[in-house]
Amino acid sequence: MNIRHTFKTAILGLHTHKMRAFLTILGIVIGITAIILVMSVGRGAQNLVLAQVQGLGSKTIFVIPGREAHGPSDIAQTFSDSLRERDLNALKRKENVPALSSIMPIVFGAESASYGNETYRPTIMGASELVAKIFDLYPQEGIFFSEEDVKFKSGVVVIGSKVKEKLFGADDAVGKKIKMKNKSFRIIGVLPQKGQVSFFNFDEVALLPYTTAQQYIFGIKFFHRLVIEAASEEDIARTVNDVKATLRESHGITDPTKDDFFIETQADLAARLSTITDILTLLLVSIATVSLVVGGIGIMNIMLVSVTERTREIGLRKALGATDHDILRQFLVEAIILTAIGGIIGILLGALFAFATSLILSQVLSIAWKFVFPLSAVFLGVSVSSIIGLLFGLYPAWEASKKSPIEALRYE
Amino acid sequence: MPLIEIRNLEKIYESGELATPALKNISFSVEKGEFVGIMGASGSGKSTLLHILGFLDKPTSGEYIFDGKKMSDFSEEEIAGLRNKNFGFVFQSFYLLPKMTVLENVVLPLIYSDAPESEWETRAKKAVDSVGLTHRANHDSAKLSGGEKQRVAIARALVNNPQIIFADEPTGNLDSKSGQVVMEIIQRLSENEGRTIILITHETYTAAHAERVIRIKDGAVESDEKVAHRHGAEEKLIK
Repeated sequence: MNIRHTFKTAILGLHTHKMRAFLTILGIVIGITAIILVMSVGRGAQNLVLAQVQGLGSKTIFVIPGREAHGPSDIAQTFSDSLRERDLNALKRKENVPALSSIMPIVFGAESASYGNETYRPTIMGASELVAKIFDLYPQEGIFFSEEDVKFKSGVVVIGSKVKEKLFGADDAVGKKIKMKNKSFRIIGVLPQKGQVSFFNFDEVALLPYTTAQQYIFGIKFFHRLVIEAASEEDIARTVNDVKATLRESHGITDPTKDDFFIETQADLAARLSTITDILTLLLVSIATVSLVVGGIGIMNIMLVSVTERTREIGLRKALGATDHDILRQFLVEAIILTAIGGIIGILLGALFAFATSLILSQVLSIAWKFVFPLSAVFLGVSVSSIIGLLFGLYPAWEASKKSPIEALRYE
Repeated sequence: MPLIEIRNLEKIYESGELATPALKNISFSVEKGEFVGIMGASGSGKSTLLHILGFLDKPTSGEYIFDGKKMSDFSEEEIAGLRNKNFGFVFQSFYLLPKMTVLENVVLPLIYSDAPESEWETRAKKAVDSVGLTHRANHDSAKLSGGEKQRVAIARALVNNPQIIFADEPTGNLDSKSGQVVMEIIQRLSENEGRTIILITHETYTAAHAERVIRIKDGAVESDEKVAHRHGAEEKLIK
């Protein structure tokens, strides 16, 4: 029997029990829907996270003081005062790091800020004037601090929208002075509402020149981070090596395992976050796969019932010249058609739900979420469901093919 | 060389400790073009015999030589091919597939054959014509009368132009008038087309349509003789 007729016969067999066929594939539909939904939403989440990381620019390199933590006992090593002004100056020299386009030190912490009777605890961030460009920060009112402010440790501060609201409510903030650590700082700018950028919520920030923050707020002489931008993406690897060499020289380190700093690039960060979202997606897909297996068992169950019910048809077909192989193929194709239809419906439903999810996230919760429908999910959906059909259809089809024609014809 | 030759055929049904012999030491042969009736009471083993002759069942012991070749020498594939091309089966309960039209039922053996698909419809129509159901070709087979169903079954048996027709109580579920029509067709297949017919029946009247009747009793051959006063379904058919 040729393939076309195998399909025709199988479809006819399914057509005879439409309602049953529909109920049979429900398990597969639900399983595939879940997988598609999870894969699509997982990919969307990954894109969202990566977009936030890449919001910092792919040419960015972070220098972090201390040793990279490799376990809980290493935590103490991650706090270090190893990055200082002399390192900054060494890195700024063209002969040391030729492909460096900009470098910015950062210090951060938390401190109470007060205005009159109002008190709020913003995140303190001390940086250079470059922070405006790097994080795309433009004051909504007032101005940003300048290179001179950094140089002269000016007592100026740019505050985030939430800090402004907590301390001043609807009143003007620019020009007013807030108190931190018993010192007064003049507000020169207020940032627009921005939400989370990378790992930083700029709505809750008080931004100062790093020199000011170091001296008047934290009382330290080191940096918490150095943010370096390479001239181009191609220069990243070279710049990372130059930065390492310069810092080792500056710190008198000869054994790289004794480094008192480490470097993280945007690419590292992106790769790490991708791994996390990948693992989460995989976990959810595996859970959804369990429902597919349950669906497959449902298919097997119904196919066995169908084989028993159609015993006489099998006997007749054999009497008319069907080989065992013909019968096996017919029932196998029936199972595969069933699951493939379930797979297709599942893909459509999964895409629909994923689209609805993206609409809710982007329209209702205003998250910068984009609907993604990975083609790999379609491929996975159709192939997995067909394989399930093949696997769970094989035993019933084999049972059918082994029926003796005469036993089958006698069956009442 | 006879078309069918069986020697010392035995069939024993075993269920647990109990062995029930259905056929005991049966030997006979059938020539090409013969019309043989196999007669016996219910439970005599005649149906088992027909199933073995039609390669639907296997004997416990003894030999069956079909067209010069031992049954044991046929592979499963060859047996399927034999049922498909050389044999045509007509059963007491018709066994048409419901939800299919008359034509679709008749085409069924062709989809398992190597006949080119372009010929299928023509051949099926011809077979339907030959049993006088041209006007019913596209009807739902479930809605036909018993006699019509059996004629469709005969058309299905004929569509691959088989050498032998095995008919198992073809008139058993029919009223006498419809039965008469069916017997007319079967007799014509023998007389006009020279096909070998093996007819199973428990009725003396129906058996008398054959040229030769083998009587089976308790699984053994009781008698095997030419029909002295052959009954012609259509008088002019019997020469």
